[in-house]
Order: sequence, then structure tokens, then C-alpha cells
Amino acid sequence: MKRVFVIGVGLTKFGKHEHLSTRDLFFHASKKAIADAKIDINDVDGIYFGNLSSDRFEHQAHTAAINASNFSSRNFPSTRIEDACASGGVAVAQAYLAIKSGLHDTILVGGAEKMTNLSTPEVTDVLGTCADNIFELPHGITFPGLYALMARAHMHKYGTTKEHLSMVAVKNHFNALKNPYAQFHKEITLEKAMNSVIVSDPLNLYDCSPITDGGAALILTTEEKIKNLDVTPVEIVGVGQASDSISLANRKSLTSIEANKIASKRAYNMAEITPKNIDVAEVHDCFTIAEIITTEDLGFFEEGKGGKAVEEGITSIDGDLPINTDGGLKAKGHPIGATGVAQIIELVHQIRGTAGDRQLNGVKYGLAQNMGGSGATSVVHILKEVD
Amino acid sequence: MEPPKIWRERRERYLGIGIICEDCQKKNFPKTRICPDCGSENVKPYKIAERGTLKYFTQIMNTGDELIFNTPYIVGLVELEDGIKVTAQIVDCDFKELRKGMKLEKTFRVLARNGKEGLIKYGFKFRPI
Ligand SMILES: [Zn+2]
Repeated sequence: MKRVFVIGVGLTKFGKHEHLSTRDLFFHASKKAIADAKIDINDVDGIYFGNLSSDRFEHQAHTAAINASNFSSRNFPSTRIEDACASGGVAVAQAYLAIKSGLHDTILVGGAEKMTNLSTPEVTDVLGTCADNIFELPHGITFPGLYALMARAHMHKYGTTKEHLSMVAVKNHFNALKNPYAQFHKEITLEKAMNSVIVSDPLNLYDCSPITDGGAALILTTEEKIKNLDVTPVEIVGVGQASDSISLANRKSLTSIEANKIASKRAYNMAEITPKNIDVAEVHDCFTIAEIITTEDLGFFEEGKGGKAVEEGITSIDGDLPINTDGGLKAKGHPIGATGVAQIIELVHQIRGTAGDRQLNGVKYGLAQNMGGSGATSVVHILKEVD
Repeated sequence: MEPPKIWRERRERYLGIGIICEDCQKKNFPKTRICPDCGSENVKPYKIAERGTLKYFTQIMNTGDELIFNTPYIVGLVELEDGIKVTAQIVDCDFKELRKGMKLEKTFRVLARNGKEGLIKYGFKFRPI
């Protein structure tokens, strides 16, 4: 089977883009990715596009075809993927599959979300559609609420503290200072993070990722194609995806996310490595507790030790296993459909050595974990430096 | 939420109807057509228990349009006497008084109003015994 490489990446600035819609955000990110790969749009065989809800945010569905029409090659196949907040990551997994199978050679894959034109209650309502709309949503649960329940469970079982949660926010805000594409460039103190306004007890404003506009895109291609290109390719060596009950009440555990465990195991097996081989990871910190739980699910730390790992600085940018060097969803921003793609872009930069002021030394393997809802979809990619 | 949807789901929502599997005897909520434990299609409706204990809880300060009238409100994960777990609002008590392991009972209340159609949506919540 074919080997699959990332040869180009493109990102819009994350934040509020008053004059840009979903189609513009994706177009700008795509143009950058195409230029970065040093190819032409006519070299692309198709598009995979991650997007949660342009239908609700902008009253526009069928965005995949719009994306194709924005390029001269408007007839190529273009497919939208919706898997809640994992839409971007799953789009990359589908693009990988299209190349791996031999169906296509070169794919433009990305994601975008336009969110800031709705009010916060309206955005809460749209995001709420990713929870169970029969048995969760009508009872008033929100996403901060679901992760608050998980935080309470983790605190009760393992002694994780509110400080541990806030330390994730402080770390990710610090990392975002060095990322010009991040929504926030604002260092915060632990005291400030601890004392911000409560959203859903025990989670406060600094435990939650923001509402963001943004787009992200990658060019994936085959081993044969890269031979004629003057680029530094990064190989996708592991892909794993898993699902679970959409409603939190029906999960076996509240203190871990089984879909993360299964998806990462599949990715590690495909890459023929273990968690110890990973040099840097991007994890889905939609809420601070999610980063703590996920770093345990991925096998980086023992169950219950995720909070301690943040406290000890292991996951800091100068630690043994830096997590979310680009600021994470928390401080870089979380334009839903773009998120999983942007995570992979950070890994590509860290492996290629183009991460600027946040560049780590000697990154061989990077892992990206992107999830949907309260963990009902998880998708994990492992990227590797090309020897 | 649209009126046809409220109407369609009224039994499940008003009464708390899940399933019991006639092959493995496991109970599940919400209602599915296949037993999630053993895969059998031999399932029949089952009314979930009236009482349970509070596992975890949170107080929600920000929410979607339909429920804003109700904020702040408490949502808990309740483990019922029959082992089924549900997410529901906890009412008739103060957030500070809540404790893990508290005994609760099911009660019939207004869940949401001022929705797109101006309808009132009913369902179960839990209150301390
Ligand atoms: Zn059964």
C-alpha cells in the first residue's frame, strides 16, 4: 500500500474575522498550503473538508462543493466531513485513506469554522447539537457541564485539583505567546486563571476554549510524487479512530475516554511504536480537564497522574513531553472544523524545524489527538520525520 | 425543539422509558432497538427506577437560548436503583447542600420554554428525598 506524506500546510490567523466566511477561511488556508507544497491546484485530485455546522452558523450547507468551485478545478470530488469537534481530524484520516488505497495521489484536506457571528447562547446551542438531543440536551447539560462532571469524577477518584486544571490554561496561554496565529497573546497567572468567572462548576472561563473563526489546510501526497518536489515531507505513519456512546451517562468510566485509548492504540500499532517514542503531542484541550484525561488515555502518564504531570512541568514546552506547543485549543483558539487539521500543522512545523520561537529540538515523532463531543469520537494521527 | 419531535419522544421523556433485554436481562436507557450489551433484538420497553443516588454534579451558569430562563441550574449524573445512569437536573435544593451519594427521587417538571415555537417542554428532574 501507498505511503502518505504531508508536503504543505496553511493556516489563517485564529480569532475573529468579521469580513471572512467559512468559504473564505478555507480558501485562504488552502492557498497557503498549495504554495507551501510548491504545487499547482491542478495537481490536486480532490478535497476533504472538516466542518461542524456552516448550516447553523451561516445558513449554508453543501460547503464542500463551494470549496471546489473557489478553485479553477471545480470539477474534482469534494467531500465534507462532520464528526463534531473531530471533523478536521477525521477529514485528514479520510484523505489519508483515499491516498493509501491508491484512488488518489494528491489531496487538499482541511477544515474551517465561522463562529463569531452568533451570540454566545446561540453558539452554545449549536455546539449542543453534538450532545445527545434526546437524553442529554433537553436536561440542560452543556459541553462545559459535561466536562465539569468529568472533572469532578477525576478530582474525586485521583485527587486532581482546581490548581491542576488552571495550570493547563497557564501553560497553553504561555505557549500561544510564541504562536503568531493564536487567538490570544496574553500570559496569565495561576491566580488569575483560578479566580475567573465560573462557567460550569468547577470549570471557569479559563478552563474553556474560546469561540473562534479560522481555517487550516494540508496537502497530502504519495512517495512517488514527492520525488520531483523540493519540499521537506513529513510522513503520516499511524492513524486510529474510535467511537463510543454519545451520552456521557452511558460510558463505562467518567475519568477516562475509552475512544481515546482505542484510537491511540490503533495508531501506535500501525506506526509500530509506543507512547514513549512520542516527542511532542497536540491534544484536544477543549477544556483543561480534557488535556489531563487525554494525556493519560494516550499512555503518556498513568491514570490519575495527568494533573501531576502538568504541575511538574513535564508537559511544558521545556519539559520531557511538551503538550500543545502552539497554545492548544485553549489559547490558539478552536474553530471547530479547523482544529484537528491545525494540530497536525503544528506537528509538521515541529518535525520540519519551522516552528519559529517555539521550535523544539530533535522531534522525530509527533502525535495529534482530536475528539468530538464529550469523547464519542476520537481520532489520532502519528507523524514521523522522514529519514 | 420542534413540536413533532417533542410529541414523538414524549413517552421516553415523560416517563423515562428505556429497554430491558429478554436474553441477557440487562437494562439500558435511552431506548434502543438492539441490546447494547449482547446485541439481541429481543428487547422490550422498561420504565427506569424512580430513585437513585447523586454521583457527580455541576452548576451551569451559561447555556443555550431555550434554558436561559432557568440559569443558574444544577445538572447531575444520577445512578438509579436499577443501575441505570442518567443526566438530569437536580431541583428543590441549594447547590451548596449537594453531596455525592445523596438520595434523590424523580419528579415531573418543565424542562425548557421559550423555544422557537414558544412551547413548554416537560420531562423528569430529580430532587432530594
Ligand atoms: Zn442483552
